[in-house]
Amino acid sequence: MSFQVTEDPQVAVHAEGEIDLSNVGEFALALDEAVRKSPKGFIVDLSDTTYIDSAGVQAILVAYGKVRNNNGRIALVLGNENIRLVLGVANLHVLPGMSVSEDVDSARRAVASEAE
Amino acid sequence: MLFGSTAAVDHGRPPSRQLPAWVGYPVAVALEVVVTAILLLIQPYLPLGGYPVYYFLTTMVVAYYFGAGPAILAIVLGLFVYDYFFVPPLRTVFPSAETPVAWAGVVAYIVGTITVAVATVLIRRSKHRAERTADRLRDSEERVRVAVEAADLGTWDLDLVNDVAVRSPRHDEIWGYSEPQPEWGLEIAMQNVLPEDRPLIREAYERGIETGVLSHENRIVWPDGSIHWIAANGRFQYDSEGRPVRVVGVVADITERKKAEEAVLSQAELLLAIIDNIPVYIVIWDGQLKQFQFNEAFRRDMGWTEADAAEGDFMEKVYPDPEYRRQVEEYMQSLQPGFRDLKTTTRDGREVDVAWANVQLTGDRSIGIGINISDRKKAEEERAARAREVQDANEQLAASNEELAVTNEELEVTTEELRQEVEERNKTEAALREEQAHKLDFYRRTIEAATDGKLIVTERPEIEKLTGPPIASWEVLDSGDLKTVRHGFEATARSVGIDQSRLGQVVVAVGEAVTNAVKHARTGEASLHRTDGSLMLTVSDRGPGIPALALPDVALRPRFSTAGTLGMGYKMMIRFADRVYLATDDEGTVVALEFHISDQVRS
Repeated sequence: MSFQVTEDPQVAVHAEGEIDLSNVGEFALALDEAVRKSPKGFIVDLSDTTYIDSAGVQAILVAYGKVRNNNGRIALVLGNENIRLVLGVANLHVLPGMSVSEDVDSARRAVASEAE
Repeated sequence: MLFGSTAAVDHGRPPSRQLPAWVGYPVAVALEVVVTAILLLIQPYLPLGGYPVYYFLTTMVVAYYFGAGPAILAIVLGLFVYDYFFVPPLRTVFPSAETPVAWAGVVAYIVGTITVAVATVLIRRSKHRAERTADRLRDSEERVRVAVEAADLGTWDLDLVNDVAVRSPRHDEIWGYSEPQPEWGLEIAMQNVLPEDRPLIREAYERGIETGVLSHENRIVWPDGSIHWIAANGRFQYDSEGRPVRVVGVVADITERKKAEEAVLSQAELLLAIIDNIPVYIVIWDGQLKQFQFNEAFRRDMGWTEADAAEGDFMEKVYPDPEYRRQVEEYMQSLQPGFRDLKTTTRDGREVDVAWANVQLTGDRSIGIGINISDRKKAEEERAARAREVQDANEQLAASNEELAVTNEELEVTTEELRQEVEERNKTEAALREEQAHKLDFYRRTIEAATDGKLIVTERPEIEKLTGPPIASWEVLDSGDLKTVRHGFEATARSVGIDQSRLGQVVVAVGEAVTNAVKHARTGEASLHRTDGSLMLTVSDRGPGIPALALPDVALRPRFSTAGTLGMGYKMMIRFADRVYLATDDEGTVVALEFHISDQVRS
């Protein structure tokens, strides 16, 4: 599992592999770093994530809360149907300031629009 | 001979048959008459000269056998008879002579008979004296022999120049030889002496040469190997130049005496050991209470020594009070039987309770035997004090009993009130428990209804009935094992025909169940079961369990968690499993997820 924080130009957290209780701490640190770098919003790229449990969902919601304090946005990039179902249980897709995209470009646009 | 090796000893001499002294006088008269008659008879036929000679012989015989008195009688009588019959003029009673020759005969008679009588008496006395000396010597030898035999002594006479000893048979017996030895001397004797005792004998001889007296006691080894004690005593004899040439002495077997001495010594040591180690006081005193001896226990406990007792009045030190001391002294001198308790003062001024008993010893000495009864006295005092306390307590109890009688009545009333209160409380608790059971049952039914029958709150045994034996199991020790369980379940599920399109959701449900175990109990155990048409994953932990009243929130309220986390685990399990069974109490939680093998993907 690897978590990378990139700026191109928007800040993005790229998670690859499985996210569960054993590595959710690293995932949360990456999200914190992204919040510090871009308090108004960033991309969470889960297109290469093969598994996420409720702990991973909780980490995203914590980061979402911090971004929402700045009226920012988090754009989720989902590639796996199972990931989508899990996040759906938590109703993340209906939260204000939270968008779900099929690809990174869509997500960039969503974040850029929020920044404008 | 006293020291002959084989000399026979005369055991006695028959007493002399001596005639009474007065017999000599008639014998003297008779002999004079007989001699004169014989001379007169033979004179006509055999003219003899020197008639006085025959009277000399007669006087000598009388003097020899009967002594001076009869001899004088014989001389006087003979003078008259000789003069009457043989000196002219004949037949004159008183001595008279006609011629010088006749006078010479008379004088010769007188001088001759007196001389013979005196000489004979002297010889007789000398003979008697020699006989008496010989008698005394025999008597002395007899006494020595008897003494030697009575003392069971062996005798010996050692020629120091030639180292040859003449011994009695008993001597050799004492040295262990039943038969007399052919040769014996100092060197031979030394070979029979225990080697470590030989220097003692050499020293005794060196000392004896100077003092003239030999005396030593030593051990010897008999031919049979046994060891015996002997005592030898002797006297040295020296030549004209003062060189020792002979030792004469006796030897005795003192083995029995030595054994007796050792036994006495051993008994004395034992007695001393007992006296000094026995835990009682022993004091010996004289009749005047001036001299004292103590045993070790008395010295140790009381502090007094014999030196203390020798200085001044010891009784005053031990019993300072004059009146008390007087009573004690009377008791000590009266030697009354039995024990008497006395307060005895120690050297450092303490008073110790001692029970003393007195015993009279030989002479004017007495012995006191004391037992320290301080502890007993203390116990008696404590017992008496306890008895007083008990008596006081009894009196107080008697007084309290009356108060208690009143209090008991009050207590009976109070107890009845308490009993009613407890009964009321038990009823209340029972009602509460019943209410809680109703509430829990209501919650179960509500949860089951709200989840459309997908979450069933049940009991542990019910889940065990549903699952049956496992086909795979995993131990979950920390979060690192979550992935292992998920992948293991996924592989098994795939092999048994779980719909591939649903597999990811199934894995999510399994992951949430195992994650809950790690999150709430740190460890857990997961097992996979195959039932008719279903796969069942059971996850059990030993965590604190879910409170019964929180079950609706855990199962139904969005984002509720008892662990402070997001609380979506059960929602996901309910969403992705076909049925969730939950059994939880304060000993842990068991979650069973049921997946129908033939189900289609749920959107």
